[in-house]
Amino acid sequence: MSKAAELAALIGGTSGSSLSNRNLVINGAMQVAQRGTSAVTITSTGEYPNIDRYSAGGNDSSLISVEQSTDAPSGFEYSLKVTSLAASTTDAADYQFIGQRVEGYNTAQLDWGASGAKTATVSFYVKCSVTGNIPFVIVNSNDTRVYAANCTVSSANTWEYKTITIDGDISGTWLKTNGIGLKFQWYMALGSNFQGTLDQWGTDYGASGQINVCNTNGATFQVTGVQLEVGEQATPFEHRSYGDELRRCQRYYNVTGTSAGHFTPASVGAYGYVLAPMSFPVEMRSAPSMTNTSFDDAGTGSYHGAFQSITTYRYVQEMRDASGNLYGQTINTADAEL
Amino acid sequence: MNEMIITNAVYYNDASGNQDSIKATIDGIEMSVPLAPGNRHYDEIMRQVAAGTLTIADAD
Repeated sequence: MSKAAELAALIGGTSGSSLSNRNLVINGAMQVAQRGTSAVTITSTGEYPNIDRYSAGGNDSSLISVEQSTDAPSGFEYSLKVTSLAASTTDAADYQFIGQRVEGYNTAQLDWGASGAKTATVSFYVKCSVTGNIPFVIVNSNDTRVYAANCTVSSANTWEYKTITIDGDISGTWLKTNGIGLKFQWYMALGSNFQGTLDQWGTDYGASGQINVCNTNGATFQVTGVQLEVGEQATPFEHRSYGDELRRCQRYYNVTGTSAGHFTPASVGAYGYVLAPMSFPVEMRSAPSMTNTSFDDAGTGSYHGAFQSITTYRYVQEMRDASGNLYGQTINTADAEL
Repeated sequence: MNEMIITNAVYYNDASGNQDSIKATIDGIEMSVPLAPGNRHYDEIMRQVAAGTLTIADAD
């Protein structure tokens, strides 16, 4: 057997894994944080607080904050850090989560929802100020198929490496295009309404006896080195370059423009002023929602649309400063997160 | 996940008068939302419209 074949076998070559691009998770090392790095308090509506691709939410507001931390295990520079903001009581219907929604194009190779469903293994480093079993789940897009497992924290405030192997799901609907292929989540609080049986496919998100980080004011939960791969064994984390990881993240969120007056609005048609079409850094997952953070902060402006596609946009709006002069300052964000 | 808080939703038309996007304030942020199923903001707007809790104003 050649050295290449030996290496392929070592990482599960016969189970459908691969030598590279085997990590289905984007930004598993928590490197990219285009929205910022500081702690963001999570509201009841949830959203994407800072580290790219990771969303957080729950049924109550202001129970946790999320930030990018420079505290990380050897070989990593960053972690995602959750801090409990109160000693809250977890009622039966309560939940708070942090996790990632992975696009169907990236998870299609798992072939879940079919007879050929492949086994997958998730691995990550975790550090938590409280010990016990933290709920971890993998869920399909419409929350009808759930695999719940324990993320066991054995020692407080110590980085620990965890692996969880999941039998492929031969049932349910698993999207394989640009929708949500799967979601993986850690729960900082999970009420009894969601508890049942672990380590099997069903609809339960956890089990009795698991801990709620949110029950302890100031408790912290950190995670990094997240990897989801085909196969029955975890392989070493697949480090990717910052540039590679950034490009992957920009498919879901990116920022274009400048605050330095780079753009020159031109007089066009009935709307008066229009920015030339701008290309996104990469083709986006879907036509994005756009925000324009500064076009009228120095004067007046009226909006006529962003005309966005998956590849380009052009904000159509008047742009004038306080003196009525054309004003070309604009920063645009595009959001096609799942 | 609880629903997004969406206010001030209004359609915007292109120069030919065809609906192009929705401008709305979502969780306190003003956004241009494409008329594209699969965009999570558009999907939530349509869900709230169907539920009768949100109305999108016509373009001026």
